[in-house]
Amino acid sequence: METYFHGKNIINMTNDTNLLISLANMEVNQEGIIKSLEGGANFHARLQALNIRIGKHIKKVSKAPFGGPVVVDVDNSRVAIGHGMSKKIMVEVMEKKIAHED
Amino acid sequence: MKILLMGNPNVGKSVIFSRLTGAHVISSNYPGTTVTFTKGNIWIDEERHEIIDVPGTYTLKPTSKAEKVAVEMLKEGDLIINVIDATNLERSLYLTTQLMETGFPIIIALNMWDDVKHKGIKIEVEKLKEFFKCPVIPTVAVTSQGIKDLVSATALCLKDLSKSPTPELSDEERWAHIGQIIRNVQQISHRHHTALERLCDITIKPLTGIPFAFIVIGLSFIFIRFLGEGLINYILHPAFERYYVPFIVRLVNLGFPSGIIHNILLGESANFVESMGLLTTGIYVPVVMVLPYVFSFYLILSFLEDLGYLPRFAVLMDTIMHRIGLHGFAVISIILGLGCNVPGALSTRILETRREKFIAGTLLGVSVPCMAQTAMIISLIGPYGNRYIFLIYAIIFAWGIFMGLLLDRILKGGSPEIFIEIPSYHIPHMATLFKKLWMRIKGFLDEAVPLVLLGVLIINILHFIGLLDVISRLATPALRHILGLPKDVVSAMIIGFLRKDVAIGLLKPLDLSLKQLIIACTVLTIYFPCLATFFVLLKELGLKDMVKSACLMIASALIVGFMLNLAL
Repeated sequence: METYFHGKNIINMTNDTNLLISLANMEVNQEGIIKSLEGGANFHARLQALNIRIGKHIKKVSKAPFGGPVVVDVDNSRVAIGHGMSKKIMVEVMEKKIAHED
Repeated sequence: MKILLMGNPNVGKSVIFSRLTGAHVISSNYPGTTVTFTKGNIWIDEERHEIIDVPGTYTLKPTSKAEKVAVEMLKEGDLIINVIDATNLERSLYLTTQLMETGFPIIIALNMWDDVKHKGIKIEVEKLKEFFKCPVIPTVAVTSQGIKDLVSATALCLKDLSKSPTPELSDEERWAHIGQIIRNVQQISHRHHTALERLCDITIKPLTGIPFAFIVIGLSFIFIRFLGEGLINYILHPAFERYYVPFIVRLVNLGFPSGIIHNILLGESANFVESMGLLTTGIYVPVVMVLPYVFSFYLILSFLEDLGYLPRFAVLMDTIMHRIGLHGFAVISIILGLGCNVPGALSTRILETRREKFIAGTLLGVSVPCMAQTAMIISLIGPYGNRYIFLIYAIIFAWGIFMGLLLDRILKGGSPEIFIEIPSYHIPHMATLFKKLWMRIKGFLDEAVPLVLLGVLIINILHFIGLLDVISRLATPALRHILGLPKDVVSAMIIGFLRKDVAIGLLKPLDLSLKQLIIACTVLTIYFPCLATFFVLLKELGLKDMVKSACLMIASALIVGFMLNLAL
């Protein structure tokens, strides 16, 4: 998959592949599958304990301005995640649309 | 034998605990209500067993303090009741499979069983039993459904406590194993969102959630003020005046028709607030003036708690709270503190770092007036107009935000990011709600009445031996020059260390101007926490941080008081 940065937008070059972006960069109401998690082991353990792990379907429910927390839906339960943490969760989104960076 | 109640946060362990033991424990619809463990007893087959309500944990590999407590407790147990949120089976089984590896005999309580149907989930209990080879009991803790079965299953399990650990799995293996179980026992059918679920989204998205929060706060204040005032004017004050006072006066006059003891018991004037009689003012202040507001506040707080609104509010406030060195969840300590600083201070335990605790504890002391204080401020300032009450609160809160910004700059380190589960909304179960309300009211009466009586007694003694005059004279220059207050305010300042409501009551007979009243109320709020809060904070913060925090509080009071003296 090829992506390049154009101004503040991340644009997907090839139209038929899916886009890998961080949870922070997802649009509200956008859905996808968690593909990778950055950060340390303790971070992974905390996410995993709340069933946020690679392969899970995730939907961004809301975001807050000024680097506030994002809220996601995983298996019908809602979890609030700090902005910094949300940058480390990489999600493959299904829609072919241009995602704006915060 | 020791029975441990274990499970994820906010799955209803505390409700099950109180159902099993008959004990009263505070439970709410947000994670982390139980930060330390609670013990109780249960009698099964005429034998006493200890039940421990362990703080919620998602995993046995602890990632937070509350989780560490939970894992420590595991060593002491003989039998585990694993409480599971049936609507969130997959995640819950992560802990369950870890518990299975410890080898303890386990009983699974599938709680919130009533919600399973609404959510379009179907769980085959029999198959789940087969997978884990242990009893699985569907329960609805708030309505006691399934509790009897849980007790009989426990009785059966207690007969054979042999350990049979399952082999230890890696995380990948564990999730694969759980996935297999889920595919076999659970079916989820698609269904439309319920009204409560739509409300969930509305209240969490900033664009709609923030206006909603303002409406909730505004309505809460109106409700508390309206109900509190109504209870005083139409029920408690008339009852006190018509029935209690004639009765108590006659009773005291039987034993002590006049003299010192008569004056200490009944006071020297007919005004219930000003007389400073142990049995008049000492009862009137906590029961007639403060209790109605405490009742109204906890009624609405308990409703919002059980509904599950508070964690949403915490998430909305997270961005702002980070600016003052805290994280969104600290908002819950502040809201609890508005009722009484003691539970507010206790709840700072959930905060992870020493820095956060220090900031939260200090801000609680400086900027969060409890309901007892609020009630007295309303009765004292209210006659001049509501805007002056708002002025006092605006000053106190603004100073709190300033202090928070300052402490966030000065103190090293940052506040950890928010990472919490937001529970679904639940329509509060009325019996459970009123039980909680009653516990809180009883807690208030048990704690406040003796201290108020002590405060009134101390004032009488100080007055009698003339010590008050000496202290007043010493404090006069500072009071007059910095705060613009007369020397009589000293008695209020002294009693304020004990209880703020009596202290503010002491201002009433002093004929202070409006400006002086505003300064005195503000300074009394800021300068020091009441005795009960002080001891909790001391325990939570440690001596060193508490001394620092206390210095900040006193300095704040002097600065704010001085500025008000210049500005008004």
